[in-house]
Amino acid sequence: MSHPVPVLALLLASALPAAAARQAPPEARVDAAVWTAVEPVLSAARRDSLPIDALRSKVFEGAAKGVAPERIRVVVQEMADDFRSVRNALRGAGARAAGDAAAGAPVPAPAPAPGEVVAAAMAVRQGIPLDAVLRLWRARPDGVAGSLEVPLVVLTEIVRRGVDVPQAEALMGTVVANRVPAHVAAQLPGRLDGALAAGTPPGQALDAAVRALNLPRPPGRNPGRRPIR
Amino acid sequence: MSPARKGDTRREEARLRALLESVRAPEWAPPGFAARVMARVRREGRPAWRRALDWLLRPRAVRVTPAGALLAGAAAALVLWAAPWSGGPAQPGEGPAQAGAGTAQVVTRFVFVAPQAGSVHLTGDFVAWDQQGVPLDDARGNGVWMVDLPLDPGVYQYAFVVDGLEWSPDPLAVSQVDDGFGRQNSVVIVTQGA
Amino acid sequence: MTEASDEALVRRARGGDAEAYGLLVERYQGRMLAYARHMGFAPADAEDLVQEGFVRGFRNLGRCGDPSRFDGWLFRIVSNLLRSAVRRRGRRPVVHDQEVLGRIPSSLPGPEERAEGEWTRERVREALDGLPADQREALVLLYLEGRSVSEISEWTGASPSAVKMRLKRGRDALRVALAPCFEEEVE
Repeated sequence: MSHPVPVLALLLASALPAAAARQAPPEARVDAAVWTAVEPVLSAARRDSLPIDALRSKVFEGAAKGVAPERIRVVVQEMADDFRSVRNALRGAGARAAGDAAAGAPVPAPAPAPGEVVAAAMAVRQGIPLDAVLRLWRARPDGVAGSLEVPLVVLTEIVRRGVDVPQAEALMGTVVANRVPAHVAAQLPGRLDGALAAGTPPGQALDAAVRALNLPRPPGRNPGRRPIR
Repeated sequence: MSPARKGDTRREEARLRALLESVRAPEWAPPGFAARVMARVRREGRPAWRRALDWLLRPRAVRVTPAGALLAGAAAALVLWAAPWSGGPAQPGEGPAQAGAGTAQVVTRFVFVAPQAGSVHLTGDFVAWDQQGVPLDDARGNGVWMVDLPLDPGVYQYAFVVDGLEWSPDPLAVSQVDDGFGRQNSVVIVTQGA
Repeated sequence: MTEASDEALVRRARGGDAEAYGLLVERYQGRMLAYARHMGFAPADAEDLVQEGFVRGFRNLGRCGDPSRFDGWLFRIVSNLLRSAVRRRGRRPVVHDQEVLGRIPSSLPGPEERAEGEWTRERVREALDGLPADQREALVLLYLEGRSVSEISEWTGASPSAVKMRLKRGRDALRVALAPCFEEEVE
């Protein structure tokens, strides 16, 4: 089966970012008062190598939405604080994991990518325990940079849909350890929505989604629901 | 056709019918559905010339991009060409590379339904939250606004701006998150397919 | 007291009697919502689309040529809306092709478990989700809505032979996608 894409739509779509790029730089859309308020926060974040693009984006967003400079500063500061604490925790967890693997030899800890720090901070902010995030981080195979961004978002989403944290964490740990491609993992929340809409309880709905996507099952979980007779 | 083959065909047909019957949805409407319909009928169900006067009224978003019973729940921003891990057949010559002219971008469709809107723009962190970010097109004039946008793989927050004024999250998005400013942003996960 | 006929209600509604149209909405809301669900729409989406169908129906009541066949006319409006929505939501990933089925036997429940029940229903829904929309529409209208080929042809604008071809292709695809559900019956 083919996936036809209207040529016109594609031409149009590829022209759009180009058109946007011709416009004034985004900084020009933000009042000087906003920059004055947020610059100290951004400078500190830059020095600390936090995901600066995400913080700047929040500034642009606040300005576009007409938010008062002080409120933007507070929100950006909170984000930076979240990023810092989660990034440090990931670094610590990574160092321990690497140290374990190399039996004490000094191995540089894998640095979390900016997208991973943002996703981890968002997960924690939305109620995922930091420990669960760190276990997921440790489950990551070595040398796959940036691989945790989508799994973390998916973990957050499936917990938000009512799946309990241990079940969601076990599944996403398996997903990460088995290097399930991001485009497959990303289908989990939608699959879950489908089963939830049919009235299936969250845990079973997740099992159904796992089967439908043919994902590897976490160890210890029953490989298929048995009908009650 | 031999009698045995005919019997097989009949059995297959009966089995197919039974399988389809097993997913029959109940003929049921949620409480208040008819009342909601009639509220709209009274408000909008007027002749075209009368409705033209309503053009400037506040737009109303309606969920359309749906989710199948098992698939794709409420994916509003549909990441095209996603295929299951275990695999549909390869699609040579198709896919994101075509859209991105050699880049790894993925064409992502955004849809917003606003029958009474004069314009809808998509904005988000992929365009530094420019309110004029990406205009959606209501090609058929039926209030279904759409744009296909090539994006790098990643996780993005976004929103729609209706008539240059009203911010709205995407009711079809896989997720809505608190934006910290008292509104909601939508989230899209852009991934490259197999 | 006998229920007012569709024809009487349509005529009253055409005269501006919204209450009469409300009775028609109550009469057909369940069927229309079920049809949208059969076409794969989640409940909230089904409600929005069916609601839109009723609103358009009211606006265009003057064009309902035969008020005694209001149900078919309304069905056609809703059908068109669903079809447009299917087109807009784009393609969905197809999960169950033969290759996939061949690769996952270890994860399948035993024959007695897959005979009926939720596992089977999930497979059927997935198989339907994997069909092109026109084939799904034809199968749903034939098997679940009990419509004839000529009615399907009239509603969808496809010729009767095109409808038959969609039905054939849809059946063939379902037989492949649902092979494990046929085994114990057919073999």
